[in-house]
Amino acid sequence: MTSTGKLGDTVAANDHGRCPSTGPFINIINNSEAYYSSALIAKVRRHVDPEEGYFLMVPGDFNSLAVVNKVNVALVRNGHVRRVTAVMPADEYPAYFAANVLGASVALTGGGSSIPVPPAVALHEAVLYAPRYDVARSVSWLSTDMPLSRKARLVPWDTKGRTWFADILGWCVLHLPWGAGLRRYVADPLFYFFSPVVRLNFALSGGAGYVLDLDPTTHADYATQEYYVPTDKFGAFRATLAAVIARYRVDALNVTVQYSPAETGSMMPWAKTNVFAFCVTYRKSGDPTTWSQELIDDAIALGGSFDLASQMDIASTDEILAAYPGTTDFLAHKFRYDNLYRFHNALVDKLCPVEFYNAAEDVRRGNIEREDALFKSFVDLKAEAHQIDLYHLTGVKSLSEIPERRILLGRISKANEALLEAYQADMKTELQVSDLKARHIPDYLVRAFERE
Amino acid sequence: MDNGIEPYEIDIRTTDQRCNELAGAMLDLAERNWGRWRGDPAGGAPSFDDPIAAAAYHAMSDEIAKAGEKMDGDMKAMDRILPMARFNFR
Repeated sequence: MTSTGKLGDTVAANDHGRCPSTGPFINIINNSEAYYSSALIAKVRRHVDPEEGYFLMVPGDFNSLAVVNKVNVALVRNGHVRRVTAVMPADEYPAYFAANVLGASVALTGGGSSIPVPPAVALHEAVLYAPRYDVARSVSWLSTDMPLSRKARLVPWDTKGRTWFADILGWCVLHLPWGAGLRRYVADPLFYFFSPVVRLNFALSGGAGYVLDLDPTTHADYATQEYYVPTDKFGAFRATLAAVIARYRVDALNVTVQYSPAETGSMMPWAKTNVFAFCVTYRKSGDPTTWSQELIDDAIALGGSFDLASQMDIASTDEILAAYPGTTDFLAHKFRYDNLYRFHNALVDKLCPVEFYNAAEDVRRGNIEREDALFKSFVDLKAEAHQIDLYHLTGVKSLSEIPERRILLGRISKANEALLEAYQADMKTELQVSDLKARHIPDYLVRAFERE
Repeated sequence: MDNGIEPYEIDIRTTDQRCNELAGAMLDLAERNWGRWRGDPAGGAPSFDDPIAAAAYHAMSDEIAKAGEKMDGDMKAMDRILPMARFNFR
């Protein structure tokens, strides 16, 4: 997860950045507008429609529920920020973070503009150094009134704004066999020796480091994975991470840690509590499934989760269900609002392959046809009853008509009872559950169809 | 699947069943009092000679009218949900 990216992707993945007070993107969305395949347009205002479910459905849906047309997000002023760093044993990092970052990341007051200034600690992350990942470097960008040491508003996109010095350091760290040691003892102390003052946007747009923002879309040899663990489980997961990387000889170039407060409202929350996000950037070599799954299982066992965007193909369905308990509700909403099953992605296709959906559709169609037939016979009888004004008897002309009317009443009553029974038994649900199970559809999908 | 209208559907069917019972009771009343009531050619309520039978008829007629209003209310409530429920294969 990065601080820069396309807005649509960021909403779809409910991405996060380095701002310790913000967390998942959903936390800063005020309003949103989304188009559903069922022609529904959902306009939702967070503070006006707190109970409105649509808002909760879209961020983090990986574009499988709706097309997001507009989002209105909370901004902060593009103020000045100054970089400060500190190196410490990794196990001391949570205490350092709590004292120096979390306590200071409250919003500052300051004036003149309706746009709030950034928090005192505007951006923060920590780097864990290879090979044992037992030493952490905290990198914070603090809000300041000091004059800028670099005037540029943004890092140029094409060059990432790196100097030749940073380029050389980056190349050495990435490609030399002793790159990890070089980074920890030489490159980083040199790189972080200075404490530049830049605009917030500049710091966000790629000027933070020289190996920290490897972008898998532009570096085909690298990939990233991310694991989220509750803040009090930092030490336990760090130890497992270091052991797994060593045991499987993972060519991990970079491990960074970012903080995220719990998120409010998304259907597939990755930050169920306040979490530390461990982002592992590694050079692709071999199949990462084994070691990734080991880390995924450990994160889940510690009450955390993992990044669906980067590990969708690696994680098993059981792991997805364990890390994201809202999956069943998410699928139920998917079936309800994308009822033509138009929006697909790897997540949806993995959780609910088209053949399962089609099987459910067959069952559903059969149920609807049965219910419609019941209803049609009932409506026909009622029409007949109304024609002779049965309820008010104004049309009764002779005693001989009464038995016929009783027969008609009896038929109406029987049809009514059949309908009532169907509704009371929730025919569409009950029949479908048994029928779905008969077609070997997994339990979590049956529950999703049931809740739809 | 729970689309929010099932409670109203059940309520309507239950109320309708009560209407059927009342209609049956009215047929019983008409049969028991045969020859002692006259229909209204204009389509209005029949008039009974026996005031007790008349009161019973009107009580049942009123209950049917109230049941009709209740069903109207349930249908309006369903209409309010229907734009949502319509997306649910309805």
